[in-house]
Amino acid sequence: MNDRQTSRIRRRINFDLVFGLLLLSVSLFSALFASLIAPLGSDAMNLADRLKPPGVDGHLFGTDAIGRDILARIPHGGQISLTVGFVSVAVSLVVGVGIGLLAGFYRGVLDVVLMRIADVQLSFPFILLAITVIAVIGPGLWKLIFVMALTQWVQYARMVRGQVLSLREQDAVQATRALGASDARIVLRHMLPNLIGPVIVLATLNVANNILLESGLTFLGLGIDPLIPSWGGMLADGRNYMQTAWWVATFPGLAITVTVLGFNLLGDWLRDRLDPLDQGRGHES
Amino acid sequence: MLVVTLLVAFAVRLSGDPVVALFQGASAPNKTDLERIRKALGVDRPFLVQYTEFATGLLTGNLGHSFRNGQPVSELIREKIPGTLVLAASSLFISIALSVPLAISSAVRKGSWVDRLVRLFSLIGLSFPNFWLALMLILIFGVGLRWLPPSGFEDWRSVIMPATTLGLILTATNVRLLRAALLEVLSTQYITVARSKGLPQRVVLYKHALRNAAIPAVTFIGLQFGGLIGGVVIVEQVFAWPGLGSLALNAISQRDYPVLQGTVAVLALVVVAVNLLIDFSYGLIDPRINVS
Amino acid sequence: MKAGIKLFSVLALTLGLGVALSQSPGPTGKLVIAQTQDPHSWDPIDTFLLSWGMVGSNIFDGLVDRGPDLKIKPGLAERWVFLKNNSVIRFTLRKGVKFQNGEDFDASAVKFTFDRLLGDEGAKGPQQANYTAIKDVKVVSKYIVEFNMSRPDPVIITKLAGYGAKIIPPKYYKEVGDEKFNNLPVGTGPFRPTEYVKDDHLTLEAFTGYWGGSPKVKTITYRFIPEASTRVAELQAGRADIVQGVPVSLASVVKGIGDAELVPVGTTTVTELRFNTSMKPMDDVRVRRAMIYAVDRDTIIKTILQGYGKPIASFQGEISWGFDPKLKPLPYDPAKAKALLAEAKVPSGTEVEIDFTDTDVQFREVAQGIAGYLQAVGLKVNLKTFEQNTYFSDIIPKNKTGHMYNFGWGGWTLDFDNTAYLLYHKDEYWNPVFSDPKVEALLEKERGTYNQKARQKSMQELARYLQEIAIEMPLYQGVNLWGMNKRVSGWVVPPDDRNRLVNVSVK
Repeated sequence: MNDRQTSRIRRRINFDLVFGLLLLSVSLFSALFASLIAPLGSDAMNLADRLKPPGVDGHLFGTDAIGRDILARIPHGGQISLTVGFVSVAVSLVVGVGIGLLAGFYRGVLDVVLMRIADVQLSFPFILLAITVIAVIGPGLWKLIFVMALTQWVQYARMVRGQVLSLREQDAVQATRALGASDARIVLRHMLPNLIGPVIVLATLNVANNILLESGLTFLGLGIDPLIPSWGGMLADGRNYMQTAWWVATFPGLAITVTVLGFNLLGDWLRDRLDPLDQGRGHES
Repeated sequence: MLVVTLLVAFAVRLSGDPVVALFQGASAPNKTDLERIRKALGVDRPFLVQYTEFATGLLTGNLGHSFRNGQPVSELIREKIPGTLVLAASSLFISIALSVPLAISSAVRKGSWVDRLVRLFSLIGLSFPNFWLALMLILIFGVGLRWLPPSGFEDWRSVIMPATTLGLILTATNVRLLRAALLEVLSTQYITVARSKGLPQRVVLYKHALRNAAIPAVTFIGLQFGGLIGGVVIVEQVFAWPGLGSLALNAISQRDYPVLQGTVAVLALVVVAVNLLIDFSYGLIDPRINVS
Repeated sequence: MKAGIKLFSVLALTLGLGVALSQSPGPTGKLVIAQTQDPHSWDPIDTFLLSWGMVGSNIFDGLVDRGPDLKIKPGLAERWVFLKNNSVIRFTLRKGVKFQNGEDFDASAVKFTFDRLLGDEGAKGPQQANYTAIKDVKVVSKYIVEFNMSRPDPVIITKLAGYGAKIIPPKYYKEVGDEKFNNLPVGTGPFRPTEYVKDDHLTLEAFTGYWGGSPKVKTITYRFIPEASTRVAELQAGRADIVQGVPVSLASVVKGIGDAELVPVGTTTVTELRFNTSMKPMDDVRVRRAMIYAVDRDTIIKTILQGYGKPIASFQGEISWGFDPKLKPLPYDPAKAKALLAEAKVPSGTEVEIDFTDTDVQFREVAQGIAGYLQAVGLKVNLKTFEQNTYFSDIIPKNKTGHMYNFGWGGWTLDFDNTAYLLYHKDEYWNPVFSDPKVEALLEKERGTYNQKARQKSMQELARYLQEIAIEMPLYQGVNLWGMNKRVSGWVVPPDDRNRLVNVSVK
């Protein structure tokens, strides 16, 4: 059982956590300090300098098809991509958890309606919905975030509702209720802490997912203003230069990969930590 | 299903115009021509009249006719179903073929470097946008090596790249789900008993552990099927694959309402059917479920 | 899968025949063409899409035809005369022409075609709109027909070379019905459709009885591939012989393929930014002129378009009737632009919006280039993309655009009259806001005369006036890029949509 012991020690220093945080901090810090890394901003363009390979004329990552410095655009693009990822998840999380709590706790009409909406959304391909909605309301950063939140809150609502249904039957909750605690107190003090784990895991995965979605939507032409740099937009716009100017798409692609990997690893780590079954198992071995 | 189509039918009518779409490529439509075709297509009537006609048609299996070429919508959909099913089935197959062995080797050696490498590898599908993965595959296997046709639906070789693109995305989640489920099962008393009976590792893994672990993964596939079809839209676009995704995409840009409504209804039906099938498959995967 | 097997057997058959017939001069070989779009119906009256014309020009013929030199020439009619004060056009038809199914072409086919086009079936489609000046078609004898006009239409002969006027076989159409005809039609052209899988491919087989001489290629397969990189990948993999719609960004990739070449061809299509004069500050002519001075259009053409485009001074190409070689584009002069903006009291940092459609990958880069120049004179630019259908049916005609919006024009009648009337005449579909008494007067003057010299003069005057009031920012006349495998020979690249393949052969 020596192997198992060493692997347990390794689990403490956890690979997922360390590697995930490392990757994430690279992208987070570069986005936060974008104006330090690229103090001149990201929109300086010079058509004479278009598609310069990395290293030429001081463009460390080269220039894109409009002659903009890719190194300057990546940290600024990170601000947008991470905003898309975080805000869309935050909105759908708050809405979804709220509705899930209410539906699971009070059941009734709200619950029935919620479940039907969830069925509808699950049976409808996201991309088609996004195309339809954006065709109607027009594109833009906040509209994009709105579409993502519109389609994703259901995931949280369903997950939370399921857990609330089982939690409300538990002895501890029943006992608190018998002691006359208010509904709000029961929900906020006793339920929320117990169900937040899986929600956080889902959220980390969705942040990564939504950064990719933004890229897919730009590919279909539904993305944001091309003057505003975003990793997804840079990647989609670089696709025709894959064979002649690899750097245009490679660097934003790397930025996405690093971030998405980081979020996913962190999500894995959180899942391992928060899953009660997993902790039980750790004890057993 | 009716709700889904009602929503779509309503939303898609909020902007754009099917008749102007027919004039695409022409200099300019004038008002009399627009009116004439609107009338011929029946889009001059109130929304509820149009939708009721569609809904009653849906119940009798008549989905109406395409604005674009007058063909019955049901026939258009029937033409596309093989492409979509072949793609969905083969991407599921690829993802299972990859994720089962990967998940097992990683679960058995949890915490080892194998485990880490497997999980990192399985994340590849989640780290690139699908159109990007698709174009990379085309450049490597279609252009560079010339092993596979870059696009179209000609024979079995055409299926490999689009199915791999979708399959890798599924693999990423499947490996992780299966691994987690396997770890859970492997630690149960049931397996410990099986092991202590002296059953070989292989039998324990494949016959007992895997069956139990498959259930959450299969459920998840059902939940993600709508999303999978969504991914199909982009993958079909890149690989010029004739399927329901491209049919729906074209129908949106043409505002071909009957085709869009019909396709969405069928897609919703497929998702419901797949989830039903999955419910049935529990019995096959784990015979105990029949008993209980 | 079935389609795949069929395709393979067709291939095997073609190869087999190729060997067997190598001594005799029949059509041989297989040509694969990758194009962007599938029009979904091959019926001539259902669509205006260029993707139809690229294929349809090989299946059908009209009474008159327009060649790659863009000149009108006889087609199924050998000659025509205008009678009774231009109210009747008499066509003398070509004899001995057969449809691909063996049916004879004669006056009854012409009458059937136009009865259908102008009747209920035609009312369901867009093409009828082009031919409403025709009252009816009368059969005089087996090879003579007369068109009675309800009103004069000066471009009717050009229109008869258009899609809707392609002649179809009455017997075959009645036999198979409209739906089958949409999928596998029959015409008098050099190739007959034999297999169609929507959004995938259409196969044409050579029609050796074609009146213009037997085609050289046995089979043509059109493949419909929306994504540009994928189309080019098919050319690189040697699986496509002719590729339509190569974006400039992929031009150097095509140039780099050993056994293929990049084929540029000048088109009549022009691209511009239109100004929304109902919005501040675009209502001020100084601001509009400043915008034009601010943007270095030549550099954009040289860099982003890699030289595949020509600068234009007005919204028409060189070949257009009304083109004035003496009219030069306003020069690039950022200092003057800044001065004009200051004069019009437009503060630095003023926001302006440029709109364009979402799938136009090329203009996306051009728009960003333009934005860069406008930012350099102190404006703040927002770019906004719209879904194509919304753009053309809501945003432009209902005046919901931003300060500037992208507009392209095919100019298929090759006459500035058509363009100018639809874009600058008040209350037209494409012109929701602009009106100017002098423009109205010039348009009326030009339309009121049959004297071609006088017409040309007023159109040139109009173009000069439009430049003076800076109603738009003309950008460039387009160049289409095609990719071609070197095994193809005899192909004349079309400047319009009519990609004729009767004389093309493959090694």
